[in-house]
Amino acid sequence: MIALLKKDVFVMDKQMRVLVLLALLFNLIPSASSLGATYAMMIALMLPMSTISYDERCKWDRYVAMLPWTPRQIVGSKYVLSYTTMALGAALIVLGNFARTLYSEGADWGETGALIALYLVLIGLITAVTYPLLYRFGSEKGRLVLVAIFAAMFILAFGAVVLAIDDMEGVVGRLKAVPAPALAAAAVIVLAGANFLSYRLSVKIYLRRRDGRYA
Amino acid sequence: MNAIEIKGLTKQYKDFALGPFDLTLPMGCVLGLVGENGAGKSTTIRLIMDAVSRDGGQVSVLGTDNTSPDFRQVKEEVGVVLDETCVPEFITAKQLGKILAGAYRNWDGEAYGRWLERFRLPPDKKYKEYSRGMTMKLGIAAALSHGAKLLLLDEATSGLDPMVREELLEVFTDFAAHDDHAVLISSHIVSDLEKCCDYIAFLHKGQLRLCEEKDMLLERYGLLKCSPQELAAVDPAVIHGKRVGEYGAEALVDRDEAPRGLLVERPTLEDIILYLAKEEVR
Repeated sequence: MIALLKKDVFVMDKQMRVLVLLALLFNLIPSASSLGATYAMMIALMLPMSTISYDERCKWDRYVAMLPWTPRQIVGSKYVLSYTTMALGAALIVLGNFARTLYSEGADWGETGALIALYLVLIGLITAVTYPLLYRFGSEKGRLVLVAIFAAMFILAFGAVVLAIDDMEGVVGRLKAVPAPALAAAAVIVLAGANFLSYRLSVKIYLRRRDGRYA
Repeated sequence: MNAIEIKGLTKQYKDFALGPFDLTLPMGCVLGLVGENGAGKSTTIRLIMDAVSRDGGQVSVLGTDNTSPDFRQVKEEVGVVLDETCVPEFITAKQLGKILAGAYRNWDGEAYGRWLERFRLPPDKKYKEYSRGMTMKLGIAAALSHGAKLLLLDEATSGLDPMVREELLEVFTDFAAHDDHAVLISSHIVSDLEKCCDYIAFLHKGQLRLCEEKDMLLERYGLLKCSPQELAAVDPAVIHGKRVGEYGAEALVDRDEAPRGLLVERPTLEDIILYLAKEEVR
């Protein structure tokens, strides 16, 4: 599986260097730390997914199916790549935060930690939703379906906020009352469960697609 | 032991059905899989490698059923070259070597380097800068660098100039010269197969129309050249395909059963395949 990751790194190499450099620079700007964090995590989300487009374009899947790798390893490597880029994104945020302490205001490590945790949960969930769609519909159609799903989720969330607006303070208060460790544990469980199910589903879809059942 | 044994293989797609058919490739031999585009050659190769699930039948590769858990080990001993090398365009030959070193336990980096040198492939040049001939050579270099016993070549010579094709056919023939090696090569360039194959299998519209030793095939058939009137007098059971013009006729016939006194030439493999592919088979 490491060789599969290596291949994706070779493919992303040039574009990754530029994007990582930009992310690092954004994270060094004192007044734009949250923008820098968002940028870093967006890269962490998008880069692994772009490798699926490259694979499709050069028909890598046809070749890799002939090699001594199992479908689980082939699909699993994409998930591992996503987790790796997420860790890289988090590291960039931490590095930027640390660098800012050297020449600017003292860093709020608590806030940074919370921001990273929030992003990791969000991107972890998006990853879980995205991969089965990319394997099912291909990278082009899959992205469109994904946009449609997120638009629907946004409308639902917006609707929920509008409905709860009268009692917003109460909602926030109840959330704050939940102990942080319990919240973190719940997030980890949801994230792990979603990614495990997503991975199993992606392997199934990958096999069906390989057999030409979606043609 | 046979390199490949196929029994009753079938695969059904929405608009295409392959098989059922049987096929055997003995060790030390080269089998040419010939057929028109869309005949099922690539699908057969993918089914052999279990890169597509079969609907029925059995496939054994180097003595192992290709759906058994042990088949992953067998894949280490099979070199595959596809009609397109399917390598990402930003990757160099050197990087491909590093990737494949993680795929094959028996990967031989030195052998890979030697093949790159023999094929004059620059290791640090990006794949997208390679010519068609170079990309195919890269695929072959990769397939020959992990101690493969069986080579599966899917249209590996198509789109290449005659010089490169000749060079590659020589490589395949040398490979198959070992008793514990075998090659299955699919192509629609029948003249290439005639040069290097021991056996010929002909796939037509998903059905295996013949699988025979090449020399037997060339001995068995004759190309009868005569007038349309003379052809009309020939027993139809002897004729396997014919082309009748205003001034002359040509027919693929059983050489031993051909009428005496008429001109019967030795056909090329291409003649045999073309006549059999026509729907005028008995």
